[in-house]
Formats: sequence, C-alpha cells, structure tokens
Amino acid sequence: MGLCRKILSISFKEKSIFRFDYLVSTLFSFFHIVLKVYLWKGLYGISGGTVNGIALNDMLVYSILSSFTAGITKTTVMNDLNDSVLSGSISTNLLLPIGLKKYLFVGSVTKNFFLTLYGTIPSVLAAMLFFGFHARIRPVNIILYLFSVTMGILINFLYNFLFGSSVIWFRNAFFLNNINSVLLNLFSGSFVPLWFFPEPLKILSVFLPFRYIVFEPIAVLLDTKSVEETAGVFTMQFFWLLLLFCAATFVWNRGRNKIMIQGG
Amino acid sequence: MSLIEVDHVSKNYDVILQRSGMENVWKNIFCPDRKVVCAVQDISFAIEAGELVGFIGENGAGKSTTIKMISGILFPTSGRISVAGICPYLKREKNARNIGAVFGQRSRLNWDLPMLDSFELHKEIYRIDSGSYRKNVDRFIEMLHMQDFCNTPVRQLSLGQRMKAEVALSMLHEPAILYLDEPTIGLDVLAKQQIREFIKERNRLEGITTILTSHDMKDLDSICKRIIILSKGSILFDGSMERFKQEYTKESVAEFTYAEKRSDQDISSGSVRVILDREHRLVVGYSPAKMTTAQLVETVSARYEINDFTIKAPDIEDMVRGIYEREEGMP
Repeated sequence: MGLCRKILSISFKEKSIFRFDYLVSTLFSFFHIVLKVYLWKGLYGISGGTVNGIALNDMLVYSILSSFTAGITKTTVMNDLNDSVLSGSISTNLLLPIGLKKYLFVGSVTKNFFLTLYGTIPSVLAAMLFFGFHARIRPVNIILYLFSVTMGILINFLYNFLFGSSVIWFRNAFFLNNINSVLLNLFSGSFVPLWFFPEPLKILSVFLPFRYIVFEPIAVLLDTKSVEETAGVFTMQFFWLLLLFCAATFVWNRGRNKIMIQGG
Repeated sequence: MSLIEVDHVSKNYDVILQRSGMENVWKNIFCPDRKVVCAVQDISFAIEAGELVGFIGENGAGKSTTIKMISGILFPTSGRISVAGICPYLKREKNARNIGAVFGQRSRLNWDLPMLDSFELHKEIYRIDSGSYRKNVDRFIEMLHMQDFCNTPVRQLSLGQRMKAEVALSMLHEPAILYLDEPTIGLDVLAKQQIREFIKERNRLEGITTILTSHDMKDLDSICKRIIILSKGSILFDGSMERFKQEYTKESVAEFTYAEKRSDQDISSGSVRVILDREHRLVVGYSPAKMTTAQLVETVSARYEINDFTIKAPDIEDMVRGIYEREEGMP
C-alpha cells in the first residue's frame, strides 16, 4: 500500500505539471461522448422511438456509462511494454525487487486514477448535465458494478500484458496494438452495445474477454440481469481473469530469457 | 564460495535482419532472416566480497551483456551464474534487493520531478526504513555536492548532476553489490572525480563490491584494483591492475635535462633506447620489466651530468589501445 500511495502522490505531482494536457483530455472525452450521443440521436430520429426494443433514453444512458467504464478500465500497458522492450529501458524495471506485472499494474492503475479524476469524471458529469441522465440505479447494483468493473480492469490489464509480451518474439507489436484497439472498441461494447450486434458477432463476443470489460459491468449496473445471470457474468469474469493471468505469466516467463538489450 | 561466480557463461542474441525495399516488407514481418550473434563466449571468473573490479573492452565486447546477466536482467544462453548464493536471473526479485545498478545510458529518475521524489519512490520499493533513508540521503547529498539541485526537476539538471543523482539512488538501500555501466560517460572532470571518490568511499566504508565498466581508463585506474578485459565476448585478461600494467607496459618514457655530456658513447641497449638527444634534453624509452628507474638513472648519469629528470608513468589507455589493435590485427 505504501508503494501505491507513493506512486499516487508522485503521479499527482507529475500531473499537476501537465495541467493543460488534462484540460485537453477532459475536453476530448466530453466531445467523444457528445459525438456518440448525437450519433445515436440521429439514428433514432430516423427509426422512431425504439430500436430493437431499446429506447433512446436507455441508449443515451448507455453511451454515458460506457464512456465512463471504458475510461476507468483503460490501460496503455501493451504500448508501454512494447516501447520498453524495444528501447531496452525494460532493464531498469527488471532491476527492481518487484514483479514486473505487479509494478506495471500499479503504474497503470495510478495513471488511470488521474485520467478518471481529471478527464473521465468531469466529462461524464458534463454530459449528464448537458443531455440529462434518467436511470434508476439501486445502491446494490452500484456495489455489484464496482466489483464487476474491478474484474474488467484486471482482465483488460492482463490481456494487454499478455499481448504486449509478444513484442519479445515479434520485436514490434504496433500492429497488435492497432488490432487490440479495434477489437476492444468493437467487442467490449464501448461504442456500440452488444444488443445491436448481428447474431454471429454476438456469438463470437461470448468467446472473447472484451464484453466483460465494459458491456457486462454496465448491464449489471443497469439491473438488466437476473441474479443467476449476474452470477454467470462474475463466473465468466473470474474464468477470463484466471485464464489470462496464467497465460500472461506463462508467456512472460517464456519470453524473459529471450529479451535482448543491446547497446549499454 | 565467492560472492559472484560466473562459470562458462555464453550469451547469444538472435538478431532479426531487416531487408530493405518495398518488396521485402511482408517477408520482414512474416519470415525475417535471423542471425545468431555471440555477445559473450564461455567466460568464467569469480569476484570476492569487497572487490573493486573494472571491465574493459571495445564497443560490443560484451561488457554490458555480462553485467546484465550478473544483475539478473538477462538469461545466459549457457553456463551458470551465482550471486551471493542465488541464481540472479531465476531469483531476480530476491537478487534485486541485494544490488544497486547504474546504467549510464538509462535513467531511473523521474524526469518531470526533483530527484528527491525518485528517492522517495525508491524508499518504498526497497522498503528502506525512514532512519537509514534520511541518514543516507543527507550523507549522499553532502558527499556528491547535490545541495544546490536536489529540488530542481531532473529534466533541468546537467548530465553530471543527473548522474550523481543516479549513483546516489542506486546506493540508497545499501546494496552489497553495485554495478556501474559507464557511470561517467560524457561527464566533466570535476563530476567524474566526485563520482569516483564517492564510489571508493562507499567501498571503503561499507565494503560494497563494485563492478564497473567504462571507456575512461582514468576511472578504472583510480577506482579498480582488478580488471577484466573483454574482447569479442571472451576474456583476454583477468588480474590485478598492477599485474596488468606490468604485463602490458612495453615502455615507459623518461626525460632528462643535463648540463653536459660526459662521453659521446651511445646509451642505447636492449633495455634503453634514445628517443631524442638535443639542446641539453634527453628523452629515453625503457622497459620497466627489464630495468628499474634507479638503474636507468645510473646508466644515464654515467654519460651525462643530469640536472633534472621526470618519468612518464605508463599510460593505461595506450596499453588498452595496443591490446585492441592486436586483436583487430592492426600493425
């Protein structure tokens, strides 16, 4: 905990230097939500009050919540790992008496904490005020959501760490980064909710971890699931968590002895 | 058992060769050409606790790779390494508590904040108790003359100031072993001197085993008691600095000023050669292995009435250059 506190306080000092960056990122987050909301309003405007049984208000609520959830589960660890292995700066991380996965996770969570605090929360609050937010959310669902979203953070981190480790073999994982960002945006439901997916894509999404990062936690929050279904979501999240943890540990341990650091 | 044991260690790198031209783009991604480069080849040595050891070698000789293997960052391709009884790359986290390291070309400081913030983070990572932390920070700031810049963001520090902070950071948790990979690269004379003194002082007071690589021979000469010369991944020499100087010194130079010649007889022999003799100035080259300075003075004073003389100490840089040239097959 001492380490987390220290990294948080250092990150806070760092972020206070780059206040302008945060202002820009808040504005961009807000415009991103505005874009989504107007897109849905436009689409609903053509087809009437409901699409696939989903009302426009539900869609707006989902847009705001998906922006928030995507924001807090975000991680740049694939990119960070890619850069540090290629540049050799991974050597400074490997000198620390702390597991790399743990160290990068703490770094990723603290970095995101400030992005959430300064970027995601203000933009989501602004969007709520601007467009209105009419949803009945029970306190118990907030607790279940927090649990589910924590699992989502871990799943996204481990997935990124797993594929970020592949840079050791490929020597450049920029294409993986791009593929990952497309897959995450599509299958996590951060832009289009899975309700609207055609059947084959819906089936495919069941076999991928992405829906458990954004879509399912929101579904839990909005109380769209029965107790059994909620338990099913948690079970699947736990399954993905375990699978990705084992895979990430295995791949990293296999790759570590292949790391190449040349030139000092 | 020695503190560090390196036993028949080799390290090969699998290098991907990038072919140029648009027609090779897909080939480069899916079936690139690979080449195995041998960075370190069957090296063995042992280092005792408290030793000050210098690694010398041309660029690409395998110095940094060797240090990275001993410090647990890289795995050797073959061979065995033991540091304080454990395998450093298999027990990386345990080994990391016991070592400090500075890689001159890679920073561990947060560039946007003052060095003291990086020190605080280091304290948490290594779980240093507040008493020793405060004591060490105060002492290191004083010894390395860092008072004026300890609250300046690292980004605004000069290279010498930053390197002092890096060296201090690496010693905050009082490691038993210190690895310094080119710690004085690009520094001015004063900063180099302060860092050298600091390293020697820590070794003297705390007995920190120090392993250093540098291209600056003065670093090695002033800090290290023992040197290991690497070339193309193999050890060329492993022994004391004194032995190195004796074995690799071909010639020392002595310069005499004299009032007059007692005889015209040439003093050149198997051990002495005259480099210059004019205007009451005599410069001779002699082999310290074959003749002591006292014998040289006696030989010269038999033929010249000497007013004064100076002996130029053997230059370690010249010696190492000689070794590299021999390895390269240069005349």
